[in-house]
Amino acid sequence: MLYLQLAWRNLWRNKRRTIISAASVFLAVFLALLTRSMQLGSYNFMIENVVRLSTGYMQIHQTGYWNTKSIDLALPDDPAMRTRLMQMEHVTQVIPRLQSFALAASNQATRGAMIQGINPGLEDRLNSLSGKISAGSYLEDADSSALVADGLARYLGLGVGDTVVLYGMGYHGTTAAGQFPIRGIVRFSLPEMNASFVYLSLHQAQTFLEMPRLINSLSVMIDLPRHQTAAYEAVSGAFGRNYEVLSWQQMMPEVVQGIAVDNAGGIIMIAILYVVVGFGIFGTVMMMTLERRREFGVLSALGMKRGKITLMVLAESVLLSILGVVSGTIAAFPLMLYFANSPFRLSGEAAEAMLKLGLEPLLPLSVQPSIFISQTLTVLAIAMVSTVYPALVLRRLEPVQAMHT
Amino acid sequence: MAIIELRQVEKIYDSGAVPVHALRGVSLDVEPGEFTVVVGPSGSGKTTLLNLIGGLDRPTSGTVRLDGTDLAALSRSALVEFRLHHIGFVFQAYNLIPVLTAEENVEFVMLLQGRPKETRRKTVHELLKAVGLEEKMSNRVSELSGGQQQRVAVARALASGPSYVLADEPTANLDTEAAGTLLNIMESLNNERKTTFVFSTHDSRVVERARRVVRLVDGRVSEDTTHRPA
Ligand SMILES: Nc1ncnc2c1ncn2[C@@H]1O[C@H](COP(=O)(O)OP(=O)(O)O)[C@@H](O)[C@H]1O
Ligand SMILES: [Mg+2]
Repeated sequence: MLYLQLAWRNLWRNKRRTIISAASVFLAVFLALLTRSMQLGSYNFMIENVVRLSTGYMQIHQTGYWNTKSIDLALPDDPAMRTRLMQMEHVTQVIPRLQSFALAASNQATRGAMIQGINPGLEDRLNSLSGKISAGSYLEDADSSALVADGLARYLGLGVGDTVVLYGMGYHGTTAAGQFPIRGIVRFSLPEMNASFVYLSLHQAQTFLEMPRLINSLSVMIDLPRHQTAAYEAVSGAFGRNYEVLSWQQMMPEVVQGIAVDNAGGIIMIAILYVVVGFGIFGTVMMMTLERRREFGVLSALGMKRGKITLMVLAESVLLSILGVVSGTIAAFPLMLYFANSPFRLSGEAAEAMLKLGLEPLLPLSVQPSIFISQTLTVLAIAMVSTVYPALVLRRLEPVQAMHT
Repeated sequence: MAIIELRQVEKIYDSGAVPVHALRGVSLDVEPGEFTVVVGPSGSGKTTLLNLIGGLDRPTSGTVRLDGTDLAALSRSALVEFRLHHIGFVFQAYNLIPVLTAEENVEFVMLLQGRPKETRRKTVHELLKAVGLEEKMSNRVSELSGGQQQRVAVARALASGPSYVLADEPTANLDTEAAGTLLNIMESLNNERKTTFVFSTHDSRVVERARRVVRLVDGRVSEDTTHRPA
């Protein structure tokens, strides 16, 4: 208490210097918080959406499926297995899919297509597929018709009510062929999807590919991203011996890498900012030490141990930093909170990049506690490092010499 | 038993280009309750002597026993602790902690000693009253005159309950009136509390009032006179 009080008053002996130093910490913390909040917010948003649109947080396949994408590596569409997954902690949704490549044809043209055998209800709950219908209507559970992506339908010159012909390779080399009335057209922002996707109900796809009661992936959704490790361990513990269980990170390493690169860039920028600020704090603490050598000599003469004097200087440095951290946080938090709830809408290159991933070009900020904790700890660490020099000066402190100057 | 015991103390400063022989074989005993003044011309070694008695510095040779403890037996940090519990200081330049109030300055050493709050409060009041500053207790020391600051310094020196109080030229920065007040206070503290004082001065007005005068010339004790108390 004594040290804090003393330190606090000492700080205000040179108001201007203290305010300038604290302001530099304030600015660094403010910028760092916003930067991190944007970065982590965009990663979370991207991950959440990519995961919803494609792989889920993890998938279960027949061993070897992910690398080969072989239609023959299928797994049973087993309701008991799905129930068991749903009962696991953190698991919120389990989505079976049967995907395969085929040719889609009309009278006029033929083109490669990605056949998506889905459970319409589950899929819609996961990624609101029905919201992307641009004409016609969404699939029903035991539907015998198809949804065709907008770009593909245009290419084939087909519309709602027309029939699309699909043929390709079925299970174990059989020939798969069928014709399906088009119930609806779906429009995707991601061009590859828009040019190739054809949705069938799972049952239809199984019939078409001659794979009754077989699927090739079970996607698993969980409640919170941070529970992924726990959930993955549970799922892989239960099914990993017979099947391959892959996390989204394993299935989409390019996304992980893109985030890592961007993240490193942000951290480097912030590190440079903090180095500059660190020199500011260091300079202030150093001046506060050097100009008070005489006073420290007196304190030592009175019986205050060097360690305690050092502690007082540390308290000064920490208080100075805390001033900056607290004010920076107070200034940044409302902004972060506001833009967490009503995200920026991006434009230009950034927006295009996100559209390409099939994402809405939004940038919701993150207010996760780790952002505040890590900035606070960083500044505190700087404050402590800044006290190393005063500590060295104080180690050599001899009251007689110090008071002589 | 003497509270301060110096035997054949030499102090040579050899930090500069030429070594300075500041004390040349000083032997001195101070008994509890004494009121001793060290006098001598500038450069005669008064400050050096008081620094040794204050445990702020070590002799080049000879022994210094303070309150029964040989200085040589104390480590650097033990010496700091020793000063805290055994010695009170009054400096020429007051040297109060500028950001603290008068009462906080007095309380400070007791906080370092870890004394309970009640004791601290009581002692602070008592001492500031004794030096005639109970009115100025909660003033920042920068708001006090030089004489008042030096009285706060005397109160601070006594607050730790030291065995003796050292004052190196405590009146040097004060006008005649303030110096007189300070001396009166120190004298009455010596009379009433039997506080042992050792202080240095080259102020002749001060010398007249001292009971014991130790005169230093060129680092040697040239005279040591004790007057009968009046
Ligand atoms: N820290 C020091 N380093 C070198 N010489 C010193 C130091 N302190 C005092 N001296 C020298 O020692 C001698 C005695 O000084 P001092 O004890 O301060 O005398 P006084 O207090 O009587 O004026 C002087 O010649 C002074 O210059
Ligand atoms: Mg002197």
